[in-house]
Amino acid sequence: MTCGIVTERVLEAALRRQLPADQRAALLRHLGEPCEACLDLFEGWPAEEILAMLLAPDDVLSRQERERLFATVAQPQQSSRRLVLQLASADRWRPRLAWGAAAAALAIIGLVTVRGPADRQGGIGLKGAAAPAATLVPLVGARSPTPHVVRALPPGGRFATGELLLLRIRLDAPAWVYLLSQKDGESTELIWPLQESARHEAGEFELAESGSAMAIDPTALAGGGRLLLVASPEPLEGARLQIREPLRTRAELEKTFAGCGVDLLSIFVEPR
Amino acid sequence: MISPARVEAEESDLVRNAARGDRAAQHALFDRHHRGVMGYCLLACNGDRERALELTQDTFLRALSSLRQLEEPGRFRAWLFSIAANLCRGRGAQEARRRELLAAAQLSFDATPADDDPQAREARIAVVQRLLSRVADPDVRAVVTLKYGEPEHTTREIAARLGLPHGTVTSRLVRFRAAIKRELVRAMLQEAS
Repeated sequence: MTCGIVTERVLEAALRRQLPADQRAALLRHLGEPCEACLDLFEGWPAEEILAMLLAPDDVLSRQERERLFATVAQPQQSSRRLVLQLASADRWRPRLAWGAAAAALAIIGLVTVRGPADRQGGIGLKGAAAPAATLVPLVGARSPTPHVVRALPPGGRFATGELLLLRIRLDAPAWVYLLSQKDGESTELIWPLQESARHEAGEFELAESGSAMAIDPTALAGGGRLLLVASPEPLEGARLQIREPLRTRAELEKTFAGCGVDLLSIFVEPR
Repeated sequence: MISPARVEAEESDLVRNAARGDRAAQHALFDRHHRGVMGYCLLACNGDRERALELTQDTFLRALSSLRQLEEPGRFRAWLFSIAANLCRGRGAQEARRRELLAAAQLSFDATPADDDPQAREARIAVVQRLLSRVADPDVRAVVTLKYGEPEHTTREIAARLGLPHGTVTSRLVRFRAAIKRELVRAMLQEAS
């Protein structure tokens, strides 16, 4: 059913103030009357468009204004900030590696357990000859007085309250490296790199950025979650890193990121 | 035509991703709604572009920074316009003579400001009553009376009370919002004459 008076063309012309006076008067009269056919037209017309056309018919904002405005309102990755803490200069904690030296001084209360995959010892995520081998090396860090590594974290290892997870990444070939987190029931989230991704040479390096060491607060994965390492021979698009399906095992991870080296750490927060 | 349910589901995904800091999703939400928000703010500011721009900026800043508080991502649009309405009213950018027009605009977005004041509520009721007199369909009238009457009812409550499927209630409200849009156009064209 179409209305004889209110058509899309007439309405657009009216909103753009281009309608002759007599047609405009007829339109105004008609808009005050009940007419179901008119409503069909308005039903499919977003209110945003009506307001925008009424008030700024040419263009509400120029492209430059839009981009400038968006740049002022866009939000950073909030949850990544919560999970990943930027500590201090990476150089400040690197020389203080003290594998196991300070472990005895810390009260282990069994709050958080970090566990590698069952097949961890057996290999390092090779999928075909081209895939770089990648390993996550978890370390326990103390938060204060200055962030420093206090001990290595074996499979099944536990954290004391306030301790942080510091990670080293080991590669046997150059790769683009991505660290993702995934809480149970949620999509993956890219937590590192925070800025531009970069190609890393083979070897071992800290999870650091712009000279700052990155530490993971394991309690941010309360309820259960995983840290997933993906080392790709090529840079990966952001969309490729957003996975809805749960990646609980190395096999699932390898299948999802075929051709990449992968590793994962499961984190459990146990009830006190 | 894309179904409203599909649009809502797509928007829910965007909202969830944007809440995690996905810049592309934030950009998509901004692209979808900046025209409407700016239009609403222009209406509230009587065409003062600079002021409307500032209010639009603050609306998106507030919305994007508190997306995690949005319990129903599918209601992003209504929530966004509630924020815009609250900001406009809180900063005095709401001329008395335009109160009913703004109320109509809010109704068209299904936006109900959280800190609804008595004047805003009165304006909303006045708009609804005037519009109801021009809605011929008695089924739509019954739903609208419960939705915006005293007390206001949720769509689920209306469905239970009238013994209707929830989808029927929401489609009748979509019909009523079409009448609101028609009234908005009529009032604005009249004002411009």
